Amino acid sequence: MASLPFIHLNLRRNPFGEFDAEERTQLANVELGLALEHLRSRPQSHTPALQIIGQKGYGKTTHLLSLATHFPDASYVHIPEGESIAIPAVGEPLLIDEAQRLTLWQRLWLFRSRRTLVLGTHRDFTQHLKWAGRSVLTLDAARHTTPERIEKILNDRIKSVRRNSDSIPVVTSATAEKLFAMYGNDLRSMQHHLYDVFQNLGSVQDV
Amino acid sequence: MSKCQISITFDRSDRIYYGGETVRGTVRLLVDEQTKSNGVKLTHRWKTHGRGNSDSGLPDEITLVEPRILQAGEQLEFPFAITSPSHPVTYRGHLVYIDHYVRVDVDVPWAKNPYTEEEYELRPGIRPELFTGERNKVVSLTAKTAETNVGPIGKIILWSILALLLVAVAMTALFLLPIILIVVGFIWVKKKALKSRLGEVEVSVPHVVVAPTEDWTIGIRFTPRKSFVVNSIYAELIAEESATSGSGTNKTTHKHKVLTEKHILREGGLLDLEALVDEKITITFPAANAYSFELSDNSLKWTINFCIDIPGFPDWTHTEALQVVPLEFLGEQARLPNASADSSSTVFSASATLPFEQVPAFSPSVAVAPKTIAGQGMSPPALPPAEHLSVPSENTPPESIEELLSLLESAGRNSSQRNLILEAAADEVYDIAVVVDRISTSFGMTDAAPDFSNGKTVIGQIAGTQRSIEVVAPESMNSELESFRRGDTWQSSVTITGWDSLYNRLRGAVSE
Repeated sequence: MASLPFIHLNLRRNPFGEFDAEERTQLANVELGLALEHLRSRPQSHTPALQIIGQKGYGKTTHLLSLATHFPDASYVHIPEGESIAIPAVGEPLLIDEAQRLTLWQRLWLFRSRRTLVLGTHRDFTQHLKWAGRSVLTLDAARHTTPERIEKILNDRIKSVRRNSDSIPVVTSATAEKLFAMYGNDLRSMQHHLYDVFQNLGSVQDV
Repeated sequence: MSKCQISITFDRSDRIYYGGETVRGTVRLLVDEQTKSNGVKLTHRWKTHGRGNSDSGLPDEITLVEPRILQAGEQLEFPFAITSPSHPVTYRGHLVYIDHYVRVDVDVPWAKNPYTEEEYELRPGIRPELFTGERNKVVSLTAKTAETNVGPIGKIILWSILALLLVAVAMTALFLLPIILIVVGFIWVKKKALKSRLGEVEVSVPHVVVAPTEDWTIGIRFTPRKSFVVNSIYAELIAEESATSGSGTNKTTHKHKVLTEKHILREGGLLDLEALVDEKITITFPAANAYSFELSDNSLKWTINFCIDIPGFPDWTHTEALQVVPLEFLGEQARLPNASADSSSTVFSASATLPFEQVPAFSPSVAVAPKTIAGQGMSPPALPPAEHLSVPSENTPPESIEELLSLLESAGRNSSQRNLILEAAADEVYDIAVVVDRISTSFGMTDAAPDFSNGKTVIGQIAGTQRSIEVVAPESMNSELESFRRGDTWQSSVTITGWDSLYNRLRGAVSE
């Protein structure tokens, strides 16, 4: 008898556990049209900069990882809390996650450089970037978060760990609306909530 | 549509392999459209999944196809054989899962690589080299980081820098000094107060590397310096999962207690001045397949916490870290319970046993290898000729447990014949009587249905036979099963779910 994890749900694993960067990128469901247009426009006097602003769990990292897939020469760097790290000298564009942790000198040097910047940040750097002569586009990480989009994101996650074409659990519209009411734009908290639900799910059913 | 269809099949339908065994299978690749490929590779590795960030082992890679153009309609087939590692074994908990994977990737330049991944279950097999017989200290099974050899001068410089940093921090954090003094003072006063009542307290554990089902004698000894009342003296065995997700400000550590077992060493009452308190208890270590591991973001840790619970006074506590490993990792060191002896498994009442010096040592002659537990000889019987095997057709499942056992006897160690017999019996319900050897929690059983995962497992012999069986029961039967003791006969209706090759015994589940 095969003893495989979550086979009773026709899944390979709990879909609301932690995914690695590759899996997250594949699952990213973000609208990047405006961002790509802005980054690819290179006016002679203004180097573009893009800011993705949002609180914890709103999807800043997902935005950055998705954008990176559109640029084969991109460099992505995440600044851990309480640490100062070296900024990669190569890579175009340069994507910086948790950019609010850049040191003052790094900020001055980077903002005035000719490199295209994509910043995932809690803090709005619009004015600083403009003073450095850049054209700035600021996007709210949660700009498209609606119950419908949440339903799609959650169900895409479940489908990504499907074992075969048999049925799998489905997050219903009603549940997506309830989660939106409970957690707002915080997708990470919704995932944590659903992790426990799926740990206790005995058979394939609507959630 | 994907450019390729990839499938991975294993040579064993149950996908169960033991550490050190060869995992064999076949990769099949069907090319749907002409694809320029940088090669096709097979990767074998373990990784965790669940609530925390994923930890993984170093991958073994095999190139199946060198870079070339894959033609539409091309069908390729590659048999593979890889050696399974000795650890970590498969674990399926609540926050953490460890699984072993075989993955096949078609490397397509500038496009998403088609890939497929299948997991197999790794059970304890060969003993890791790190287990040399030492059972008094925890053995690190994780890969060690490279040690930096800075030399004595380098060390002096590093220590000097550290000391300077500490002084600098102390100078700037002087305002914290009163708080630090209060905390340190409280700890010191508590320690002194406890010592004035309890004197020196000795705790005893036979060894910290333990295997499930081992008998394990723990104790506590002290001579009170005052007369006082205790609520109880107990030891609490705890297994706890820990999983860390995210990083930086998003970093969160989740914890989940897998098992908590409280063993009373002494009930509440008065402890007299200068009257020696010397309590011991032999517990049978829980049979849960939850072995210790410590990875960077995921861990399962076992501890035993001793506590002297004193009313209206700080409690005396002592925590000992344990390492629970599969019995197979201990080899000849395993101290298995004697099946005929009356073991005090999961004793919850106080019972003074032999003093520390008199606890009988286990001699190698009584240590038995796992396969002898099931009453089988060490050398496997020869396979009977295939033509002598009588295997029921799908339409004629064995009607009674006796008939099933007789068929299994004739199949001997021929696993394919045995599987056929078990498949034929799978839909039947058999009434059986089991002479109980032990009853343990089913937590950690990797293939238990959700209703059964918090239930109990009864292990014993089918009455009137020499054949062993393990039967999982649902959580709803826990209270009923707790009343059974070793040697009691338990009757139930069961369905046969498989065969445990390691212990050579039937596996079943209570039919609801």
